[in-house]
Amino acid sequence: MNAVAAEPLVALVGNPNCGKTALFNLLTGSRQKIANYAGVTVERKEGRLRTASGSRVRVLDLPGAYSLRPRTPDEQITCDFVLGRLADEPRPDVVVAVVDATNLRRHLRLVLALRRLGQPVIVALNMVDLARRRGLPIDAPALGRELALPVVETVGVRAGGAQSLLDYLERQHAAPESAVADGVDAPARAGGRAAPLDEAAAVAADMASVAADQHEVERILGRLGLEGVPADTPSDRIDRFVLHPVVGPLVLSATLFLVFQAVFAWAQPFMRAITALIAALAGLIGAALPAGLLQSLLVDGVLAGAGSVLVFLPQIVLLFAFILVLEDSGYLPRAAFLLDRLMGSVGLSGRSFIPLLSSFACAVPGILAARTIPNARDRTVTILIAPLMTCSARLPVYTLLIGTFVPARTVGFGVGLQGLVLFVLYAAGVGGAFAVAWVLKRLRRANAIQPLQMELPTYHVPSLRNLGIGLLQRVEVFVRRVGTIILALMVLLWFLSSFPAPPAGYPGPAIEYSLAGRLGSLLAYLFAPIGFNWQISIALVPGLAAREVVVGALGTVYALSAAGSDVAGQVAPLIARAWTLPTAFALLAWYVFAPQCLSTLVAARRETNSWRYPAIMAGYQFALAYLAAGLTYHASRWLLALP
Amino acid sequence: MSALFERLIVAAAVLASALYAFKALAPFGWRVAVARRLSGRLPDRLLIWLAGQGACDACGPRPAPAALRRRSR
Repeated sequence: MNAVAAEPLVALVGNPNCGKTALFNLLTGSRQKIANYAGVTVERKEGRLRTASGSRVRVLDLPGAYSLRPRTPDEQITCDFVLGRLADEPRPDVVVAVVDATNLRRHLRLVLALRRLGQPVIVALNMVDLARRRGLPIDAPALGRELALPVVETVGVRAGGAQSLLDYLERQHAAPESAVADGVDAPARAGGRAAPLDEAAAVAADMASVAADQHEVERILGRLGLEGVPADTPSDRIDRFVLHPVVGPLVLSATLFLVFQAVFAWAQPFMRAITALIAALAGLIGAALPAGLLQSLLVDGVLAGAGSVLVFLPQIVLLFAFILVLEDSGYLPRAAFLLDRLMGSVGLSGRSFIPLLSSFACAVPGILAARTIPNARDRTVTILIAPLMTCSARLPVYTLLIGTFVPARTVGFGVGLQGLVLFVLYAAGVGGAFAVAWVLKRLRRANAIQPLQMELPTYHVPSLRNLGIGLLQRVEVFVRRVGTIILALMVLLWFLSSFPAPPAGYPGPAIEYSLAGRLGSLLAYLFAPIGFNWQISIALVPGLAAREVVVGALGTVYALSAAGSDVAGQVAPLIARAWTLPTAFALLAWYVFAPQCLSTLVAARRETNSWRYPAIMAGYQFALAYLAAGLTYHASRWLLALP
Repeated sequence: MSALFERLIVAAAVLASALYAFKALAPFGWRVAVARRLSGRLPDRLLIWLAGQGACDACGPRPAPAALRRRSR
């Protein structure tokens, strides 16, 4: 047996949004994403903790489940693991049943189901601080006696909040004590921990006992004096406004509008600082190296390419700061609730909201998050439209073009025109997604309408620690992409744009003679009708790897096309001279729908287990992008009376 | 800096970038097929690195295929 297998395995199991991942992060020092809504974790996550005595324990964070009868793919993962259905995974040595202390009525049902399995179970009574602030008489020892299970108090979002659980695991490791309920499901216990679980019997027993479980939960709550739970008054008061049929949508629109205004207005000083830094670096390299291949690679390839993408880091940080605050506060599920009717009208359910929202960061986690949707048709449609949400990789493209071609002025009431255009582009992505969902609803026979059932969590003041961790992760991801794949692609594009070198006396820029120049000229036949020149056509090709690469590609292509006096990292003045307004608008329209992202197609293939849906996705997005760019280009030319 | 040395540095940067881009973007099966084809011609550690990563950051690291690992031993 290897060392990993010898380490005890602890699984965190509980209802969605009970704080499992926060507890997992506390126990293992991990930085998994947490948020104040259900369905954040859709895959099992593994980490390790070292107890005070130095022994190591494997810890698994599992997706939330309401019962041991899975209805969604993410619940299936949890149930398969707990029920020991996975061939290559051992059953856990200890199951930590994480329950929300403010909502024991619902969470204890799963504890009772887990108790019946005969495995060692410990109950982590999470969010006890919140429960006590609400005046709930939480008594962990008494609950432990009623459940016949060990119960410890935890606060997943506070440093040291898992100490009692750690102490228990330490004791359990040193001298294993029974954490199996007495007198419960004795036949299941009889086989001991190593006995294969009679899965069918366990599931059948679970189905038969739902009503009995509810009765048992009521009995326990009655014994603990928790039968009359006080209302969550502050959250209820806020919800009276936020969920109001008229005021609610206005609050949501105003919130999103403010976010996009701030992304443009507040990031500018930082962007200017990064641009100046890159320009200074280019100047240093130009002075230190003689003109030649290496200088061109570093200045035109690396700095003009990867550097021009890095400039957009401040805007991405700001956008994610707002999203994280909204996530952590508990507002986002309310937004899903508000949008349920609208989503229902196009054939989606409110459950699609969280996957679609995740797609604003990147479509890949959004597609994975679609596992929380029980209905297969809704899930497929959600996966198909997720790439239309404006992912963070599009932000550099949008802000480059808006910053270059849209004047920085207000349009009244202090509203900036640039922020307004950005808001319109995001709205166009959402509108396009809804339109596609509506068409798919017409093409495929819809199942019966499923009412949205989702819990609205208590509002929290966002945790600075979570915000810091979330932002740091985003910065890491972005900088890593710039420093790895974007840098590699820029070096390759520089090579393709520099070789073969033109013969002496060639009249045009050298790039026209290069491999990339020739490829661009060929592609220009396809893209000229929608206003794209050969430089844009070249840039779209590496943009297939990641959308933001197009900014770096434009930087490299135009740096090599220029006479040599232009400064690396400043692609904006170059395109401002080379493009017309209709071309810029057409490229913006292209990127609202553009399919260029291989990772998204691969993720869709993996989640749907077929190439059919990724092919449909790429096909309809390319067609939409071409149509939208063409319409925008020709309409703009007509409006501006251009020849 | 001599012109030859400059060309060597640039060629190494371009080759490394091409290898990295292939590793980062090509499907898992393609990477495994290429790594097997190159087995014996390039260092095993390099081939395992080439074949053993997922296609996107969000997927996280994936283990190198067992067959390739056995071959490299």
